[in-house]
Amino acid sequence: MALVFDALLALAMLWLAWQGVHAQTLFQAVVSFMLFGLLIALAWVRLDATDIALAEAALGSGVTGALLFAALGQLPPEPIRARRRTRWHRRLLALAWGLVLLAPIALLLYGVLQLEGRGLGAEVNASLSQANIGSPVTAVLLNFRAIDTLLELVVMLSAVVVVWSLGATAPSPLPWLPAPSLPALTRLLFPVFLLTAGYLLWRGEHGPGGAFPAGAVLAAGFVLAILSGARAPAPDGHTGWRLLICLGPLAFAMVAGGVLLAGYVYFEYPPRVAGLLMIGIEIAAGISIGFMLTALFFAAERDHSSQV
Amino acid sequence: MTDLYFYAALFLLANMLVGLARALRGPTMPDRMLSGELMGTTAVAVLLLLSVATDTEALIDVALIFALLSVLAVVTFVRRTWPEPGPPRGRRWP
Amino acid sequence: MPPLTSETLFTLTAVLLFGIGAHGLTQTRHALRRLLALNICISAIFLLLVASGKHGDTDPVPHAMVLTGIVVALSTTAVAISLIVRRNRHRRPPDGGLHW
Repeated sequence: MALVFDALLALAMLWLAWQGVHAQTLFQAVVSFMLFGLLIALAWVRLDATDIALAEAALGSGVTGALLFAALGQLPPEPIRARRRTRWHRRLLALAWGLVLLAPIALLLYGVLQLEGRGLGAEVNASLSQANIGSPVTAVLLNFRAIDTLLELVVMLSAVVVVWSLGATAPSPLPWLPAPSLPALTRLLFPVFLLTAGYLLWRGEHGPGGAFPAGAVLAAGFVLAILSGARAPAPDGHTGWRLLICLGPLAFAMVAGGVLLAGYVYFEYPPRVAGLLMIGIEIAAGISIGFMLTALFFAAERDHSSQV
Repeated sequence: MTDLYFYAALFLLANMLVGLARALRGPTMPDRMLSGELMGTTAVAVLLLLSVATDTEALIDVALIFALLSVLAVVTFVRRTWPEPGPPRGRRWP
Repeated sequence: MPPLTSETLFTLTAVLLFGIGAHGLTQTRHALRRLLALNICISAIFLLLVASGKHGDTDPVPHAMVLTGIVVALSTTAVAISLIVRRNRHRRPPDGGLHW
Protein backbone atom coordinates (compact mmCIF):
# COMPACT_ATOMS: atom_id res chain seq x y z
CA MET A 1 0.00 0.00 0.00
CA ALA A 2 2.70 2.40 1.03
CA LEU A 3 4.61 1.24 -2.00
CA VAL A 4 1.85 2.45 -4.35
CA PHE A 5 2.07 5.89 -2.74
CA ASP A 6 5.85 5.94 -3.09
CA ALA A 7 5.76 4.71 -6.68
CA LEU A 8 3.25 7.40 -7.65
CA LEU A 9 5.41 10.01 -5.91
CA ALA A 10 8.56 8.76 -7.62
CA LEU A 11 6.95 8.82 -11.07
CA ALA A 12 5.66 12.35 -10.56
CA MET A 13 9.11 13.45 -9.37
CA LEU A 14 10.82 12.00 -12.42
CA TRP A 15 8.31 13.61 -14.77
CA LEU A 16 8.63 16.99 -13.07
CA ALA A 17 12.42 16.80 -13.12
CA TRP A 18 12.31 16.14 -16.86
CA GLN A 19 9.92 19.08 -17.32
CA GLY A 20 12.10 21.24 -15.10
CA VAL A 21 14.94 20.86 -17.57
CA HIS A 22 13.25 20.45 -20.93
CA ALA A 23 9.94 22.33 -20.63
CA GLN A 24 9.04 24.51 -23.58
CA THR A 25 9.42 27.85 -21.84
CA LEU A 26 11.61 29.00 -18.95
CA PHE A 27 8.55 29.84 -16.87
CA GLN A 28 7.22 26.29 -17.25
CA ALA A 29 10.62 24.93 -16.27
CA VAL A 30 10.72 27.07 -13.13
CA VAL A 31 7.17 26.11 -12.09
CA SER A 32 8.00 22.45 -12.65
CA PHE A 33 11.14 22.79 -10.57
CA MET A 34 9.19 24.40 -7.74
CA LEU A 35 6.65 21.59 -7.79
CA PHE A 36 9.52 19.10 -7.90
CA GLY A 37 10.74 20.65 -4.64
CA LEU A 38 7.26 20.16 -3.20
CA LEU A 39 7.20 16.48 -4.10
CA ILE A 40 10.72 15.83 -2.91
CA ALA A 41 9.70 17.22 0.47
CA LEU A 42 6.96 14.57 0.52
CA ALA A 43 9.59 11.97 -0.36
CA TRP A 44 11.66 13.10 2.64
CA VAL A 45 8.61 12.62 4.81
CA ARG A 46 8.21 9.09 3.45
CA LEU A 47 11.86 8.41 4.30
CA ASP A 48 11.30 9.53 7.93
CA ALA A 49 13.52 12.57 7.40
CA THR A 50 11.18 15.21 8.76
CA ASP A 51 13.96 17.70 9.48
CA ILE A 52 15.11 17.57 5.85
CA ALA A 53 11.49 17.89 4.68
CA LEU A 54 11.25 21.05 6.77
CA ALA A 55 14.45 22.51 5.31
CA GLU A 56 13.45 21.50 1.78
CA ALA A 57 10.01 23.09 2.14
CA ALA A 58 11.51 26.29 3.53
CA LEU A 59 14.78 26.69 1.64
CA GLY A 60 14.83 24.28 -1.28
CA SER A 61 11.33 24.83 -2.56
CA GLY A 62 10.16 28.09 -0.97
CA VAL A 63 13.09 30.49 -1.10
CA THR A 64 14.73 29.04 -4.22
CA GLY A 65 11.40 29.17 -6.06
CA ALA A 66 10.91 32.81 -5.12
CA LEU A 67 14.48 33.66 -6.19
CA LEU A 68 13.86 31.98 -9.55
CA PHE A 69 10.58 33.83 -10.10
CA ALA A 70 12.25 37.13 -9.29
CA ALA A 71 15.02 36.29 -11.77
CA LEU A 72 12.52 35.40 -14.51
CA GLY A 73 11.11 38.91 -14.30
CA GLN A 74 14.51 40.32 -15.24
CA LEU A 75 15.54 37.85 -17.92
CA PRO A 76 14.92 38.37 -21.61
CA PRO A 77 12.91 35.73 -23.46
CA GLU A 78 14.84 32.66 -24.35
CA PRO A 79 15.90 32.68 -27.99
CA ILE A 80 13.81 30.18 -29.96
CA ARG A 81 16.90 28.83 -31.67
CA ALA A 82 18.34 27.76 -28.36
CA ARG A 83 15.45 25.61 -27.33
CA ARG A 84 14.30 23.86 -30.48
CA ARG A 85 15.03 22.98 -34.06
CA THR A 86 18.02 20.78 -33.54
CA ARG A 87 19.42 19.11 -36.59
CA TRP A 88 19.35 15.37 -36.94
CA HIS A 89 23.03 14.85 -36.28
CA ARG A 90 22.74 16.84 -33.04
CA ARG A 91 19.83 14.65 -32.02
CA LEU A 92 21.84 11.57 -32.79
CA LEU A 93 24.68 12.98 -30.70
CA ALA A 94 22.29 13.67 -27.82
CA LEU A 95 20.97 10.13 -28.01
CA ALA A 96 24.48 8.72 -28.02
CA TRP A 97 25.38 10.93 -25.07
CA GLY A 98 22.34 9.64 -23.20
CA LEU A 99 23.44 6.07 -23.83
CA VAL A 100 26.97 6.91 -22.65
CA LEU A 101 25.50 8.41 -19.46
CA LEU A 102 23.44 5.31 -18.88
CA ALA A 103 26.49 3.14 -18.16
CA PRO A 104 27.85 5.07 -15.13
CA ILE A 105 24.29 5.49 -13.86
CA ALA A 106 23.70 1.74 -13.93
CA LEU A 107 27.06 1.30 -12.23
CA LEU A 108 26.08 3.85 -9.57
CA LEU A 109 22.83 2.02 -8.90
CA TYR A 110 24.59 -1.33 -8.69
CA GLY A 111 27.21 0.06 -6.32
CA VAL A 112 24.68 1.74 -4.05
CA LEU A 113 22.56 -1.38 -3.77
CA GLN A 114 25.64 -3.37 -2.73
CA LEU A 115 26.43 -1.00 0.13
CA GLU A 116 26.55 -2.48 3.57
CA GLY A 117 26.81 -0.46 6.71
CA ARG A 118 24.94 0.47 9.78
CA GLY A 119 25.69 4.18 9.96
CA LEU A 120 26.47 6.25 13.00
CA GLY A 121 23.00 6.36 14.53
CA ALA A 122 23.94 4.25 17.55
CA GLU A 123 27.03 6.33 18.34
CA VAL A 124 25.09 9.60 18.12
CA ASN A 125 22.34 8.31 20.38
CA ALA A 126 24.91 7.03 22.86
CA SER A 127 26.57 10.43 23.25
CA LEU A 128 23.35 12.44 23.05
CA SER A 129 23.22 12.88 26.83
CA GLN A 130 26.52 14.79 26.75
CA ALA A 131 25.13 17.31 24.31
CA ASN A 132 22.30 18.50 26.56
CA ILE A 133 19.96 18.75 23.61
CA GLY A 134 16.99 16.61 22.73
CA SER A 135 17.12 16.31 18.96
CA PRO A 136 19.87 14.07 17.53
CA VAL A 137 20.08 16.06 14.30
CA THR A 138 20.45 19.38 16.13
CA ALA A 139 23.07 17.75 18.35
CA VAL A 140 25.07 16.71 15.28
CA LEU A 141 24.68 20.12 13.67
CA LEU A 142 25.51 22.28 16.66
CA ASN A 143 27.70 20.12 18.82
CA PHE A 144 29.40 17.12 17.23
CA ARG A 145 29.98 18.75 13.86
CA ALA A 146 29.56 22.38 14.84
CA ILE A 147 32.37 23.58 12.62
CA ASP A 148 30.45 22.39 9.55
CA THR A 149 27.53 24.56 10.55
CA LEU A 150 29.78 27.56 11.18
CA LEU A 151 31.35 27.13 7.74
CA GLU A 152 27.88 26.73 6.26
CA LEU A 153 26.95 30.13 7.65
CA VAL A 154 30.18 31.53 6.22
CA VAL A 155 29.31 30.07 2.80
CA MET A 156 26.00 31.88 2.90
CA LEU A 157 27.72 35.07 4.05
CA SER A 158 30.15 34.83 1.15
CA ALA A 159 27.22 34.36 -1.23
CA VAL A 160 25.76 37.64 0.07
CA VAL A 161 29.12 39.38 -0.28
CA VAL A 162 29.51 38.12 -3.86
CA VAL A 163 26.00 39.20 -4.84
CA TRP A 164 26.52 42.62 -3.27
CA SER A 165 29.85 43.09 -5.00
CA LEU A 166 28.24 42.53 -8.38
CA GLY A 167 26.33 45.77 -7.91
CA ALA A 168 22.73 46.58 -8.59
CA THR A 169 21.05 45.83 -11.89
CA ALA A 170 18.64 48.26 -13.43
CA PRO A 171 15.30 48.19 -11.67
CA SER A 172 12.90 45.72 -13.15
CA PRO A 173 11.46 47.24 -16.35
CA LEU A 174 8.12 45.52 -15.91
CA PRO A 175 5.11 47.55 -14.91
CA TRP A 176 3.71 46.59 -11.54
CA LEU A 177 0.22 45.32 -11.19
CA PRO A 178 -1.87 47.38 -8.85
CA ALA A 179 -2.36 45.19 -5.79
CA PRO A 180 -4.53 47.01 -3.30
CA SER A 181 -5.12 43.97 -1.10
CA LEU A 182 -1.46 43.09 -0.73
CA PRO A 183 -0.60 45.49 2.13
CA ALA A 184 -3.63 44.26 4.08
CA LEU A 185 -2.61 40.66 3.53
CA THR A 186 0.90 41.43 4.69
CA ARG A 187 -0.32 43.24 7.79
CA LEU A 188 -2.26 40.11 8.62
CA LEU A 189 0.44 37.59 7.79
CA PHE A 190 3.66 39.27 8.91
CA PRO A 191 3.10 38.58 12.63
CA VAL A 192 2.33 34.96 11.75
CA PHE A 193 5.65 34.68 9.95
CA LEU A 194 7.49 36.13 12.96
CA LEU A 195 5.65 33.83 15.35
CA THR A 196 6.36 30.77 13.21
CA ALA A 197 10.05 31.66 12.97
CA GLY A 198 10.24 31.92 16.75
CA TYR A 199 8.35 28.65 17.13
CA LEU A 200 10.72 26.83 14.78
CA LEU A 201 13.74 28.13 16.71
CA TRP A 202 12.27 26.88 19.96
CA ARG A 203 11.24 23.62 18.34
CA GLY A 204 14.75 22.89 17.01
CA GLU A 205 15.87 22.07 20.51
CA HIS A 206 13.90 18.85 20.77
CA GLY A 207 12.66 18.07 17.27
CA PRO A 208 12.89 19.04 13.62
CA GLY A 209 13.29 22.77 13.24
CA GLY A 210 16.16 25.05 14.06
CA ALA A 211 17.89 28.11 12.73
CA PHE A 212 17.73 27.47 9.00
CA PRO A 213 14.00 26.89 8.53
CA ALA A 214 13.34 29.65 11.06
CA GLY A 215 15.60 32.02 9.13
CA ALA A 216 13.86 31.11 5.88
CA VAL A 217 10.43 31.86 7.35
CA LEU A 218 11.73 35.15 8.74
CA ALA A 219 13.14 36.04 5.32
CA ALA A 220 9.84 35.12 3.67
CA GLY A 221 8.10 37.57 6.01
CA PHE A 222 10.57 40.35 5.19
CA VAL A 223 10.37 39.73 1.44
CA LEU A 224 6.59 39.73 1.60
CA ALA A 225 6.61 43.01 3.52
CA ILE A 226 9.00 44.70 1.10
CA LEU A 227 7.13 43.41 -1.94
CA SER A 228 3.94 44.89 -0.51
CA GLY A 229 5.55 48.28 -0.22
CA ALA A 230 7.15 48.41 3.22
CA ARG A 231 10.15 50.69 3.24
CA ALA A 232 13.51 49.24 4.13
CA PRO A 233 17.00 50.64 3.68
CA ALA A 234 18.77 49.17 0.65
CA PRO A 235 20.73 46.17 1.88
CA ASP A 236 24.21 46.89 0.63
CA GLY A 237 26.19 49.63 2.26
CA HIS A 238 23.87 49.99 5.22
CA THR A 239 25.69 49.40 8.51
CA GLY A 240 22.69 47.91 10.28
CA TRP A 241 22.28 45.30 7.58
CA ARG A 242 25.95 44.39 7.74
CA LEU A 243 25.84 43.98 11.51
CA LEU A 244 22.72 41.83 11.43
CA ILE A 245 24.13 39.65 8.67
CA CYS A 246 27.39 39.06 10.55
CA LEU A 247 25.65 38.45 13.87
CA GLY A 248 25.21 34.69 13.47
CA PRO A 249 28.69 33.74 12.23
CA LEU A 250 30.26 36.14 14.78
CA ALA A 251 28.32 34.73 17.72
CA PHE A 252 29.19 31.23 16.61
CA ALA A 253 32.89 31.99 16.24
CA MET A 254 32.98 33.87 19.54
CA VAL A 255 31.51 30.91 21.40
CA ALA A 256 33.91 28.56 19.65
CA GLY A 257 36.87 30.75 20.56
CA GLY A 258 35.57 31.83 23.96
CA VAL A 259 35.59 28.32 25.36
CA LEU A 260 39.34 28.30 24.71
CA LEU A 261 39.75 30.99 27.36
CA ALA A 262 37.86 28.86 29.86
CA GLY A 263 40.33 26.05 29.30
CA TYR A 264 38.32 23.89 26.93
CA VAL A 265 39.15 22.65 23.46
CA TYR A 266 37.99 24.63 20.42
CA PHE A 267 34.21 24.07 19.99
CA GLU A 268 33.97 22.00 23.14
CA TYR A 269 31.03 23.41 25.04
CA PRO A 270 31.30 23.35 28.84
CA PRO A 271 28.74 20.67 29.80
CA ARG A 272 26.87 22.85 32.25
CA VAL A 273 26.07 25.64 29.82
CA ALA A 274 26.08 23.61 26.58
CA GLY A 275 22.32 23.78 26.09
CA LEU A 276 22.22 27.51 26.80
CA LEU A 277 25.12 28.28 24.45
CA MET A 278 23.52 26.31 21.65
CA ILE A 279 20.21 28.13 22.07
CA GLY A 280 22.06 31.45 21.92
CA ILE A 281 23.84 30.39 18.75
CA GLU A 282 20.56 29.19 17.22
CA ILE A 283 18.85 32.53 17.86
CA ALA A 284 21.75 34.60 16.49
CA ALA A 285 22.10 32.32 13.48
CA GLY A 286 18.36 32.36 12.79
CA ILE A 287 18.24 36.16 12.74
CA SER A 288 21.32 36.35 10.53
CA ILE A 289 19.99 33.75 8.09
CA GLY A 290 16.74 35.67 7.80
CA PHE A 291 18.55 38.86 6.89
CA MET A 292 21.02 37.09 4.60
CA LEU A 293 18.25 35.47 2.57
CA THR A 294 16.41 38.80 2.32
CA ALA A 295 19.63 40.41 1.14
CA LEU A 296 20.08 37.70 -1.49
CA PHE A 297 16.56 38.35 -2.70
CA PHE A 298 16.87 42.12 -2.97
CA ALA A 299 20.55 42.52 -3.74
CA ALA A 300 19.86 43.13 -7.38
CA GLU A 301 17.41 45.97 -6.89
CA ARG A 302 18.19 49.27 -5.25
CA ASP A 303 14.88 51.07 -5.39
CA HIS A 304 12.68 48.18 -4.44
CA SER A 305 10.56 50.15 -2.00
CA SER A 306 9.47 52.96 -4.27
CA GLN A 307 6.26 51.67 -5.83
CA VAL A 308 3.14 49.99 -4.56
CA MET B 1 -8.74 3.90 10.99
CA THR B 2 -5.16 4.89 10.16
CA ASP B 3 -5.58 2.89 6.96
CA LEU B 4 -8.41 5.20 6.00
CA TYR B 5 -6.16 8.25 6.48
CA PHE B 6 -3.53 6.66 4.32
CA TYR B 7 -6.00 5.89 1.54
CA ALA B 8 -7.21 9.48 1.71
CA ALA B 9 -3.61 10.68 1.39
CA LEU B 10 -3.15 8.41 -1.63
CA PHE B 11 -6.31 9.80 -3.20
CA LEU B 12 -5.09 13.35 -2.64
CA LEU B 13 -1.72 12.48 -4.18
CA ALA B 14 -3.56 11.21 -7.26
CA ASN B 15 -5.43 14.52 -7.24
CA MET B 16 -2.12 16.35 -7.19
CA LEU B 17 -1.13 14.53 -10.36
CA VAL B 18 -4.30 15.79 -12.06
CA GLY B 19 -3.38 19.31 -10.94
CA LEU B 20 0.09 18.67 -12.32
CA ALA B 21 -1.37 17.99 -15.74
CA ARG B 22 -3.01 21.43 -15.62
CA ALA B 23 0.23 23.04 -14.49
CA LEU B 24 2.04 21.52 -17.44
CA ARG B 25 -0.65 22.30 -20.03
CA GLY B 26 -1.28 25.88 -19.04
CA PRO B 27 -2.01 27.65 -21.28
CA THR B 28 -1.45 30.97 -19.50
CA MET B 29 1.08 31.78 -16.79
CA PRO B 30 -1.50 32.42 -14.06
CA ASP B 31 -3.10 29.05 -14.89
CA ARG B 32 0.14 27.28 -14.21
CA MET B 33 0.80 29.27 -11.09
CA LEU B 34 -2.65 28.62 -9.67
CA SER B 35 -2.53 24.89 -10.31
CA GLY B 36 0.88 24.92 -8.66
CA GLU B 37 -0.71 26.55 -5.65
CA LEU B 38 -3.47 23.96 -5.73
CA MET B 39 -0.81 21.27 -5.55
CA GLY B 40 0.77 23.08 -2.63
CA THR B 41 -2.52 23.17 -0.75
CA THR B 42 -3.12 19.50 -1.49
CA ALA B 43 0.37 18.73 -0.22
CA VAL B 44 -0.56 20.44 3.05
CA ALA B 45 -3.58 18.13 3.32
CA VAL B 46 -1.47 15.07 2.44
CA LEU B 47 1.05 16.01 5.13
CA LEU B 48 -1.63 16.46 7.76
CA LEU B 49 -3.19 13.09 6.89
CA LEU B 50 0.19 11.37 6.96
CA SER B 51 0.89 13.04 10.28
CA VAL B 52 -2.19 11.38 11.77
CA ALA B 53 -1.63 8.08 9.96
CA THR B 54 1.98 7.70 11.10
CA ASP B 55 1.51 9.52 14.40
CA THR B 56 4.33 12.00 13.64
CA GLU B 57 3.58 15.37 15.14
CA ALA B 58 6.46 17.14 13.39
CA LEU B 59 4.77 16.77 10.00
CA ILE B 60 2.33 19.47 11.08
CA ASP B 61 5.27 21.89 11.16
CA VAL B 62 6.19 20.95 7.59
CA ALA B 63 2.58 21.56 6.54
CA LEU B 64 2.69 24.94 8.30
CA ILE B 65 5.81 25.95 6.40
CA PHE B 66 4.28 24.85 3.09
CA ALA B 67 1.18 26.90 3.78
CA LEU B 68 3.18 30.00 4.72
CA LEU B 69 5.77 29.87 1.97
CA SER B 70 3.26 29.29 -0.82
CA VAL B 71 2.22 32.90 -0.20
CA LEU B 72 5.78 33.98 -0.94
CA ALA B 73 5.75 32.22 -4.32
CA VAL B 74 2.46 33.80 -5.40
CA VAL B 75 3.39 37.29 -4.25
CA THR B 76 6.78 37.10 -5.96
CA PHE B 77 5.09 35.91 -9.12
CA VAL B 78 2.57 38.75 -9.05
CA ARG B 79 5.11 41.43 -8.19
CA ARG B 80 8.10 40.32 -10.19
CA THR B 81 7.29 37.86 -12.94
CA TRP B 82 3.88 38.56 -14.37
CA PRO B 83 4.47 41.01 -17.19
CA GLU B 84 1.54 43.32 -17.77
CA PRO B 85 -1.55 44.63 -16.03
CA GLY B 86 -3.85 43.66 -18.86
CA PRO B 87 -3.37 41.01 -21.54
CA PRO B 88 -2.96 42.31 -25.05
CA ARG B 89 -5.85 41.26 -27.24
CA GLY B 90 -5.58 38.15 -29.34
CA ARG B 91 -2.28 37.11 -27.89
CA ARG B 92 -1.70 34.01 -25.86
CA TRP B 93 0.69 34.17 -23.00
CA PRO B 94 3.24 31.47 -22.51
CA MET C 1 18.65 -8.21 -5.95
CA PRO C 2 17.40 -6.52 -2.78
CA PRO C 3 13.67 -6.66 -1.94
CA LEU C 4 11.55 -3.80 -3.26
CA THR C 5 11.00 -1.48 -0.33
CA SER C 6 10.45 2.27 -0.13
CA GLU C 7 14.18 2.77 0.35
CA THR C 8 15.15 0.79 -2.77
CA LEU C 9 12.44 2.55 -4.73
CA PHE C 10 13.72 5.98 -3.75
CA THR C 11 17.32 4.90 -4.36
CA LEU C 12 16.33 3.93 -7.89
CA THR C 13 14.46 7.22 -8.31
CA ALA C 14 17.49 9.16 -7.10
CA VAL C 15 19.76 7.47 -9.62
CA LEU C 16 17.31 8.18 -12.45
CA LEU C 17 16.93 11.80 -11.30
CA PHE C 18 20.68 12.19 -11.39
CA GLY C 19 20.62 10.88 -14.94
CA ILE C 20 17.95 13.42 -15.93
CA GLY C 21 19.93 16.22 -14.31
CA ALA C 22 23.23 15.21 -15.91
CA HIS C 23 21.56 14.85 -19.29
CA GLY C 24 19.95 18.26 -18.96
CA LEU C 25 23.19 19.83 -17.81
CA THR C 26 24.88 18.89 -21.05
CA GLN C 27 21.98 19.09 -23.47
CA THR C 28 20.43 22.49 -22.75
CA ARG C 29 21.76 25.85 -23.80
CA HIS C 30 20.12 28.40 -21.54
CA ALA C 31 22.05 29.07 -18.34
CA LEU C 32 18.93 29.05 -16.17
CA ARG C 33 17.98 25.60 -17.46
CA ARG C 34 21.45 24.37 -16.68
CA LEU C 35 21.11 25.78 -13.19
CA LEU C 36 17.83 23.90 -12.73
CA ALA C 37 19.45 20.72 -14.03
CA LEU C 38 22.31 21.16 -11.58
CA ASN C 39 19.82 21.61 -8.76
CA ILE C 40 18.06 18.40 -9.79
CA CYS C 41 21.41 16.58 -9.68
CA ILE C 42 22.01 17.98 -6.19
CA SER C 43 18.58 16.88 -4.95
CA ALA C 44 19.17 13.44 -6.47
CA ILE C 45 22.41 13.05 -4.54
CA PHE C 46 20.74 14.07 -1.29
CA LEU C 47 17.99 11.55 -1.91
CA LEU C 48 20.55 8.87 -2.71
CA LEU C 49 22.50 9.62 0.46
CA VAL C 50 19.49 9.35 2.75
CA ALA C 51 17.57 6.56 0.96
CA SER C 52 20.55 4.26 0.60
CA GLY C 53 21.79 5.02 4.12
CA LYS C 54 18.53 4.17 5.80
CA HIS C 55 18.66 0.86 7.63
CA GLY C 56 15.87 0.49 10.12
CA ASP C 57 16.16 3.37 12.57
CA THR C 58 17.12 6.79 11.26
CA ASP C 59 20.73 7.88 11.21
CA PRO C 60 21.15 11.58 12.06
CA VAL C 61 24.55 12.00 10.39
CA PRO C 62 23.42 11.83 6.74
CA HIS C 63 20.46 14.00 7.72
CA ALA C 64 22.78 16.67 9.08
CA MET C 65 24.96 16.42 5.97
CA VAL C 66 21.95 16.89 3.71
CA LEU C 67 20.73 19.85 5.76
CA THR C 68 24.13 21.49 5.34
CA GLY C 69 24.06 20.63 1.66
CA ILE C 70 20.66 22.23 1.10
CA VAL C 71 21.93 25.52 2.48
CA VAL C 72 25.11 25.41 0.39
CA ALA C 73 23.05 24.57 -2.71
CA LEU C 74 20.76 27.53 -1.99
CA SER C 75 23.73 29.91 -1.64
CA THR C 76 25.24 28.64 -4.89
CA THR C 77 21.92 29.00 -6.67
CA ALA C 78 21.48 32.56 -5.44
CA VAL C 79 24.94 33.57 -6.71
CA ALA C 80 24.38 31.79 -10.03
CA ILE C 81 21.00 33.48 -10.51
CA SER C 82 22.47 36.88 -9.90
CA LEU C 83 25.29 36.18 -12.38
CA ILE C 84 22.79 34.98 -15.00
CA VAL C 85 20.61 38.06 -14.52
CA ARG C 86 23.59 40.39 -14.85
CA ARG C 87 24.86 38.67 -17.95
CA ASN C 88 21.53 39.10 -19.70
CA ARG C 89 20.31 42.41 -18.36
CA HIS C 90 20.96 44.58 -21.41
CA ARG C 91 19.32 42.25 -23.84
CA ARG C 92 15.72 42.75 -22.88
CA PRO C 93 13.60 43.84 -25.85
CA PRO C 94 11.68 47.11 -25.50
CA ASP C 95 8.24 45.47 -25.66
CA GLY C 96 8.66 43.97 -22.22
CA GLY C 97 9.23 40.48 -23.50
CA LEU C 98 6.17 38.31 -23.13
CA HIS C 99 7.71 35.06 -24.29
CA TRP C 100 10.21 33.21 -22.25
